[in-house]
Amino acid sequence: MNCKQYEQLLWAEAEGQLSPAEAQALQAHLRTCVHCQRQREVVHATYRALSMLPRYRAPEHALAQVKARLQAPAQPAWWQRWRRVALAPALGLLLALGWWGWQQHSYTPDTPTTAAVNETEHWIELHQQLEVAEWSPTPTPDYFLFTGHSR
Amino acid sequence: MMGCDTVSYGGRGIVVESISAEAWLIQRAQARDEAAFEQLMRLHADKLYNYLVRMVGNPTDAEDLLQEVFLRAYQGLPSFDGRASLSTWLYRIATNLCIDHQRRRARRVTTVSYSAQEDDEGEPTEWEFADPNAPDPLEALMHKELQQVVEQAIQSLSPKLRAVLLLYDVEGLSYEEIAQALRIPMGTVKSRLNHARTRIQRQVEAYLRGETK
Repeated sequence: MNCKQYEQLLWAEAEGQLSPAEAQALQAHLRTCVHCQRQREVVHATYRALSMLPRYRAPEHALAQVKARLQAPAQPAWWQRWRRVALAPALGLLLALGWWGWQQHSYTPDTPTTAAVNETEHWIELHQQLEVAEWSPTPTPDYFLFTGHSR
Repeated sequence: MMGCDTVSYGGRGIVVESISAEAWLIQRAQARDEAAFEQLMRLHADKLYNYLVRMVGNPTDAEDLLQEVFLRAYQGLPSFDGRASLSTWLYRIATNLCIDHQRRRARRVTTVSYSAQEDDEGEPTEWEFADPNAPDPLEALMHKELQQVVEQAIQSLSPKLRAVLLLYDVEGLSYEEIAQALRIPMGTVKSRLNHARTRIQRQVEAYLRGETK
């Protein structure tokens, strides 16, 4: 065995996994090899540092958030898969409806509604009645009241 | 790997004993029992978080990934067949997420430096020291410095080597469990571990010789 192979045994020794025969061979080598003696110190220090690394605790709020996300109403799998595909036509339809509504609104002044026509006709008729009343020999009291004309 | 021998369930005073405790909780969680799943989370959260922090190098990302691990586990639990242990299965999800995270981070132009001893506000993070009563201050200081060297050396490893080293030397998984978790042959686990240990060992050696702090 060469030093590189003995180095592997050093890790096994640190872990306490050497067989008696391997342990004996390693001890015999260490008695004569200064390089491996130094490496033994390094390997044991590394192994100790690794096994004694401080441990992190999971934050409690992280688990609470997982719990909250699990309890949130789940969307059906088909919706999750197709929502992007469904979103495009829905958006297109919405835009088309918006454009149509805007067009309708922009033509409104040129196309008066029936109610507006009726109201205009009502005022013309009323005006005609008042004109007739003005030339009438006996105007009604309401005529004087609403027109401000004097007798 | 069993996380514990007894498990209290759902705060209803039910205590499950023996090796079947986790299996029972898994069955309940597969049937969409959220209280059972919460118990499973509590059993594995610390181990996974500890692994994730060292895999990604900072607690904030590790916290996000921990949540993602559990959400994916809950979704995938109905198809969990129990051939590997739950712990191994969770480490597999965690490792895959870490590798994805590493790829995304590698694409970013900016880099964020992080000291393993401090969080974003510069406050010490919650440590649970394995050896809180060091014999004397000088030895304690050297021990702390050595741990920093090892932490930095771990971060300098590639994600593949880091995963094997952390799972074996820090989390205590067996070669077989690591092979299952990472879906690689056992020979590859051993060679990666050997490679990773050699690299860490070189940096510790440089520190002990006084070549680095």
